[in-house]
Amino acid sequence: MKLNKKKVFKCFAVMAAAMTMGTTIIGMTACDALGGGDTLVVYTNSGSGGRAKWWEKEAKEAGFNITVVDGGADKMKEKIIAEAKNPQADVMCGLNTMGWSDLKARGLIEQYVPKWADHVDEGLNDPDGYYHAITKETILLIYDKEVMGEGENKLAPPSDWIDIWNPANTQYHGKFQCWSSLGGGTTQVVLSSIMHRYKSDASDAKYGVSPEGWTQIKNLYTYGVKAQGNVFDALSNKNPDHSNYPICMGQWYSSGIKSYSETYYNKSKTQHLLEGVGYVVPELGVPYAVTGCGIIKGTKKKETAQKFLDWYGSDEFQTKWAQKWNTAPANNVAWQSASEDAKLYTSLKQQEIDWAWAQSHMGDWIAEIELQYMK
Amino acid sequence: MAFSKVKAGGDGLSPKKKFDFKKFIKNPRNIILIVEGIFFLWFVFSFLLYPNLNLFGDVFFGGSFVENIKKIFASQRAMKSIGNSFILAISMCVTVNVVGTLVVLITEYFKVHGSKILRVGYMSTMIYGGMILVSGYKFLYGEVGYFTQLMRLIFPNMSTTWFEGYGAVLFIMTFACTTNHVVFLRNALHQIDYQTIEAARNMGASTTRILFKVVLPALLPSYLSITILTFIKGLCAMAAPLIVGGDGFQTINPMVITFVSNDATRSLGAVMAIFLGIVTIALLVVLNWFERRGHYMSISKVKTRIVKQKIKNPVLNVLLHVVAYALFAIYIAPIVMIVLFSFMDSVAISSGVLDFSSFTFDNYKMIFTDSDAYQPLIYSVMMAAISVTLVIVLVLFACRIITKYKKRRLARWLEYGLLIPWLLPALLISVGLLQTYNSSQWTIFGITLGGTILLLILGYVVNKIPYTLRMSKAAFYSIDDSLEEAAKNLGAGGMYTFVKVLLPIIIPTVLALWALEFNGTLGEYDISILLSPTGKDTLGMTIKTLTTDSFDPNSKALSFVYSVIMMAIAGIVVYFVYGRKGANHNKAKTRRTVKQLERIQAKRAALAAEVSKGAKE
Repeated sequence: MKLNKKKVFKCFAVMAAAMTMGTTIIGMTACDALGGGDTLVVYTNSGSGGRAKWWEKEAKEAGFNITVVDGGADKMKEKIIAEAKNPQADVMCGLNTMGWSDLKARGLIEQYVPKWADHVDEGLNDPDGYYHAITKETILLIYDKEVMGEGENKLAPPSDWIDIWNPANTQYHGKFQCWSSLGGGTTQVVLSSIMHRYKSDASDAKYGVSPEGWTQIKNLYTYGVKAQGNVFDALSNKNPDHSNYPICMGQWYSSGIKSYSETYYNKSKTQHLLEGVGYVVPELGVPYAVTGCGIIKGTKKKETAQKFLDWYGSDEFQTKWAQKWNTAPANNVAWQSASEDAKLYTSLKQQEIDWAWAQSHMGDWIAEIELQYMK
Repeated sequence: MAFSKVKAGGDGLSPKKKFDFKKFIKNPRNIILIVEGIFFLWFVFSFLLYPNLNLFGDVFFGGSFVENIKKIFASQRAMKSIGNSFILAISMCVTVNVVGTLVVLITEYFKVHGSKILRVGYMSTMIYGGMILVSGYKFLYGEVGYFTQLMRLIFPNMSTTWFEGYGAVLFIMTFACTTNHVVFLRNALHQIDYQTIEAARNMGASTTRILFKVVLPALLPSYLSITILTFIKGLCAMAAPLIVGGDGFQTINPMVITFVSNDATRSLGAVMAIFLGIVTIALLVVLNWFERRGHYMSISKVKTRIVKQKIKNPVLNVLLHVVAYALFAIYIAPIVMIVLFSFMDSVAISSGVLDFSSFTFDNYKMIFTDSDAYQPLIYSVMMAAISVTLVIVLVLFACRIITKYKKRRLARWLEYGLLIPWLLPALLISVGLLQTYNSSQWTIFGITLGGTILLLILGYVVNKIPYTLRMSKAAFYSIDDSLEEAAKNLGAGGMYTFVKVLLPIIIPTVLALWALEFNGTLGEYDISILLSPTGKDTLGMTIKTLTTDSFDPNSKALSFVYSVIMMAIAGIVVYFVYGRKGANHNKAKTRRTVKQLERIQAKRAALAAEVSKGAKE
C-alpha cells in the first residue's frame, strides 16, 4: 500500500507519545510509593491556617518525619473508612467524640494508651484506650452585645437555646439562624445537645428522641432565619436600622470567638459588632467538642506512631500548640498555660452528652430534618 | 432498573451476531476491533460498573431500598425540591437555548461591531463557575448589590430582596450555562456550507427566513446534545439555588449531596441520585433515537466560509447592537466584581460592599510569597492535563466504534456502559473507586492503586467520560459519511482515515473539550480529596479548605485570590485553544485534505465515465 511509510511513522509517533506518558505516570507512581520511607502520615481536620506546616516543622525538630494531610472532618473520616483494607494514614488527629466513636465501632483504630493519658480529665478519653483527647472547646450560643444584653433598648439575652424558638418568646423570633446544612461539626454538636435533652426510649420516640424534642426542631425552623454565611457574616451585615439583617444570635465555637470578633470589629467599624459578642450558658451546661488522636489500624509504623502520639499530646508540645494557636488543651498541665480567653470558655459547666448515642442516631436525624423540617 | 440493563450491556459486548467467524477473524481490521471491544468490555466492567456495584450492592438489593423510597415520597420538601429541579431544567432548556443562540449569532453570523470583544465576554463562562460565579452575581444583584442600588435610585420603592427565588436562579443558570453554545454551536455553525445560504438568498429568501429555514435546522444535532446537557445542568443545579433560591425555590441536588456525604444517609442519597440519573439516561435514549433516525445536513465537501450577514433594517440593526452589548455587560460584570473583591478583606467580601480605602494586596502577597502555594497549582495543572488527554483519547476510540456501528446493539450497549457515571454523583463514584482499588483487586490483575496518582487520574477520567462522549458524538455525527467512504475508496486504512480525514474535522470540538474539561478539573474537590495520594493537594482542595474552614477569619479573601488565579490559568488555556493562529491552521488543514480527496475522486469519476463510455462504444 502506498500509505504504508507514513502509516508506520504515525504508529511510531503515537506509540512514542503513549510510552512517554506511561513512563511519566509510572515514574511518578514509583516515586510516590518509595517516598513513604519512615515518614509518618497524619490525617487531620485541624491543619488549616498554617497549622499543618508549623506542626510538620515542630515534629521534625522532635525527630519525627511527618506528612500532614488536611481536609474536612467528614472527608478525612470517609478516607479512613474507604482505605480500611490498605490504610494510607498512620495517625488521625482531630475529629470530635462522635467521629471517634464511629471509627472505633468500625474497628479502624488501634488500641494504645499514650503516656500522657492520665493528664486528661476523666470522661474525655476513650475508656477502652482507643482514642485520647487533645483539645477541648465549647460550642456556644453567641449574641451581638450591641443589640442584646443589659441596658436600655437592648433585648435581654436568652438563657438557653430552646428559649429562642419558644413560641412565647416572640422577641427572639426571626433573629437567629436556622441550619441550611447539617454537615458541619459545630452544627452536629448543637443538634446533639438539643436532642440529648429529649432522649427517650418510649414507644412514641422517633430515632431516640421524644415528640417534644421534635417539636423543638419544628419551632427552630418556624422561627429561625435561613442561614446565609456564618454567624459573624450575619452579625456584621447589618443596615443601621437592622431592617434587612435582623440576626443577632447564632452558634460559634469558643476558640474562634476572639479571632473572629477582632477581625470583624477592626474591619467593619462603619458596620456592627462594635461591642463584640456575648455568650449564653444554659443551666444544663454547654456542649464540649473534644478533638482526639488515635492510631489507624493496620499501620506499618506502629512503634513510630506510638512514639509520635506520646510526643504530640505531651505537656510540652500541647503547651506550645496552645500558645501558638489559642486552643484549650485537654491535657491539664498544658491547659494551665493556655490563654485566659481559652481557659475562660473551657471552665464553663459541661453538658453531659452520650456521644455514642448521638452518633448512632445522627444519620437518621439529618435525614428526618432535611426531609421534614428544613425550609 | 438501569443497572441491570447496563450490566446486560457489558455482557452483550462479546460478538454473538450470526456471521462467518473465520472470515471475520482473517481481516486484520476486525482484529483491531476485537481488541478494542475486549478493552472496552474490561474497562467498563472494572472501572464503571464493578466499583459502584461493590459500594451499592446492599442499597439496591437490601430492604432499605423500599423504605428509602417511602421516606422520599413522604417528604413534602423533597417532592417540592424535585419538582423545582425539573421546573428549572425545563425552563433552562428554553432560556439557555435562546440566549446561547443569540450570542453565537451575534458573534458569528451577523455583522456586529466589536464582535471580537463581545465574544471574549460571552466566552467568560468557560473560566469560572459554581460558588464563585454565584458570588459574583450576588455582588451585583443581591440585597446590597451594585445593580440593586442603581435600580433603587431610579425606583426607590423597589425591594432589595428582589433577586431571590425562581427568577434569580434561572437568570444566573441561564447566563452560566451558555458555554456549550459558545463552543459547540459555534463550531457547528462554521461547518455550514455558505453556498446553501447564497442559494437561498438568490431564490429570494429574507434574512429571517434563511436563518430559520436554512441555518438553524442545520444545527439540529448540536442543539439536541446541548439541550440534553443543559437539562442535566438544571437538574443538578447546586450553588445558584442554595444562595439565591431563598425559601421558595430550593432544588434537589443540595439535599442529595448532603445525604451522600454522610455515611449513615448514603443509601437515601443514592436512591435520589439514581432517580435523577435514570431520568437523564431516559432522555439520552430518546435523543439517541432521534440521532439515529435523522440524516442531517452536515459538513460540506466543497467548503465556502460563512460570510457574516448584515441586517439591512436600521432599527433592527441598532436593536441587535444594544442587545449584544447588554449581554456583554451581564456576562462580564460578575467577573469584574470577583476580581475587585479579591483585593478586599473577608469582611468586605461577606458584606458585599467594596471599600476602596481598604484595598489591599496582602491576599496576593500571602499566596505568592508562600512557596508551598505553587505546589497545588502545578500538581493540579499536571493531573488535569494528563487525565483530560486520556479521557479524550479513550472517548474518541469509543465514539468511532459507536458511530461507525450505530445500528449494532453492541455499540449501543458500549455507549450506555460509558454513560454510567452520569447515574451517580462524582463523590459516590470516587468512594466506590477508593474502596475498590485502594487494595489489590482481581479486575486489574492484582495491582494496588492505593496511594498512587493513578487512582486520582482514574477518578478524573471516569467522571469525565459521559460529557466527553456526548459532545464528541455530536461532532462525529456532523461528519458526512461520504467523506469517509471516499477516503476508503481511495485505499486509505482505518487509522489513516481517522487521523487524516476525520480528526481534522472534529479537532475544534476536541480542543474545546480539552479546554473545558481542563478548566473544570483544575478546581475539582470531591474526587481530589478522596483519591489524591498523601501529601499532594490539588488546587480545589486548597480552595475548599480555605472556604469551609473557619479557623482563619481571613480565609474567605484568600479563596477569592485562588479563584482569580484559577480563572487566569483557565483564561490562558482558552486563549491557546481559540488563539486565531491555531484555529485557522486546523481549518485550513481540513479544507486541504477534503479538497485533495475531492480532486482525486473527481479524477476517478471522470476516468470511470470515460471507461464506461468506451465500453459502450
